[in-house]
Amino acid sequence: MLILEVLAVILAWLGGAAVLLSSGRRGIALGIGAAGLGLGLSEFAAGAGEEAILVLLGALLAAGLRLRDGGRGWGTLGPGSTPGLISALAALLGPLLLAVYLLPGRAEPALLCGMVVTTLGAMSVMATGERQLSLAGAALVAFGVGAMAGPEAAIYGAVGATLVSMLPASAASRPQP
Amino acid sequence: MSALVVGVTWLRWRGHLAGYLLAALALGGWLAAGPGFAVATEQRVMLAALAAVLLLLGLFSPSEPGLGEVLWGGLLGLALVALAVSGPSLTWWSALVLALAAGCAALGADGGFAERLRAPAIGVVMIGSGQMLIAVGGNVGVERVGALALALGLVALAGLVPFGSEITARGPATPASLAWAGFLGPALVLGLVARVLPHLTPDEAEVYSAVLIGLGLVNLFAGVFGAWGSIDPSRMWRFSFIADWGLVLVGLGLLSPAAIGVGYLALLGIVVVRMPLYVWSRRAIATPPQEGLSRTNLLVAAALAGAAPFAGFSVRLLLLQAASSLFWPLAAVLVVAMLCWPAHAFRLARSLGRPDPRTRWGFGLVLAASLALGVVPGLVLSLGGY
Repeated sequence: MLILEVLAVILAWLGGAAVLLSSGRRGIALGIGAAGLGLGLSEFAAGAGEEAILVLLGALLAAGLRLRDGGRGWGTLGPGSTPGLISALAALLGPLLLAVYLLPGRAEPALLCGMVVTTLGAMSVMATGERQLSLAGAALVAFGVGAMAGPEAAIYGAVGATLVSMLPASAASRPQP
Repeated sequence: MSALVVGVTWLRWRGHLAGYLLAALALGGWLAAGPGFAVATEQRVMLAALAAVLLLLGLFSPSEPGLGEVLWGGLLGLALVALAVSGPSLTWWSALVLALAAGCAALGADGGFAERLRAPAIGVVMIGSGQMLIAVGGNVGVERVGALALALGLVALAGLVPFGSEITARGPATPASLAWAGFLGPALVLGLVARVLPHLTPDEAEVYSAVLIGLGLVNLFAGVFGAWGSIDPSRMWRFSFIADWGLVLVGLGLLSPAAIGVGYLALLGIVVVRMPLYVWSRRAIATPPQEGLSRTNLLVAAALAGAAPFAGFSVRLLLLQAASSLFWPLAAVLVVAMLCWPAHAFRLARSLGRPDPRTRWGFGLVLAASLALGVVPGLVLSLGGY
């Protein structure tokens, strides 16, 4: 179970970091999917199997919706991504330190995953001026805030992330009524 | 019923934002049938006010391109707000707020989507973090930080100083930002307060209260003096919303039931009075200004200035009463801002121009609503359960 928990945190971080460091639809969708998989695994490790499946389904749906429009390709780790890389490392270390020193014994892996994903989502929203990345960041925030509040709330977070991902990445792609 | 609405809208607006949001509405409606969903008394009044304003705008706005889409968007926003505030937990509320904020940010056609989404998203992050720190904190310091995050999250969510986007004179106010501040925000903030307050310990409440009162005063002065110093009417209107929100924050921060009731009254005032007047002003702002004030404009100016017997007067009176019972210097500071308030109200009223006969009826109804809020605030408060 410990391996599963560690894997969950690593996947959640990698997924969130992929969103932060990508500008293409594939990279962003993969990031959302991986982050959702990490959150789902952490819920599963905590014994919330049904919630884990629903969170994973939400992540797949959100990732699929992000695949349909926006910048093409992967766009991961493009030129000038060093500050993003450092921010992504900080987004892992910050919640880890918070969990170890300020919430000793009370920060479960699901909570830690939630904190990591929320931090990376907030960074994506703050760092970008692009609609596609902003939407992906908001979806991560919804996932993360849900995971921080418990297994049942994680489902609500997944619903929110899916709703956010329904919005198109480009204003011009919206057909007028 | 929801499925029917979704089907019709999907056919009509396939691929359009409204179609997606209606699909979300159907999902929410299905979830709402489950346990744990209930609408609080004060929220019923607020939702009814939102619906009334939409009807008012639909009936009395001068016909112009895009009005139908705005009203449809408002209706969908109203439905999603109803789902958010009736949900079983703060996380449900946060998830729907994010979706609403993204939908509202997408309304603007002038770009800047990411900037418009930033403040509500950061608000949700802070509220989620605050909730988590209070729930698992285990020591006073961490819980106080949690309360601080909740209060800052509330202010960020409303898009207020210091989290709101910069107000410049370069361009007109975006409809998306004011739809958030004047239409969706009030109901969402009321829902947040109802979910947060019962779970705060006295120690946490102290931090929460201090932050809200402090930032409330900052917003009040920034709004009043920002509007006073503005030449551009759009910018003036945006600052006037911030000033109103300043009163709301101070009321909510005072924490006594009477003061929270004042915050609720002020929020109703924003929705029922300021928002429709702002929407009607947008057309007049685009035309050359006219000299002088008609009788209708004078009455509107009095209502916007908070003069008796309109809504703003009762809000100010009750807020001063609540503030002076806690700490009289706070009331003195509030009085200074309130005395400076009328300076921009007359200029706002002038920016409305001379309304056509149809819109004049709308003005009349808004003034009647303002009069009702001002003359019988006790009745409105009791309707809201305060």
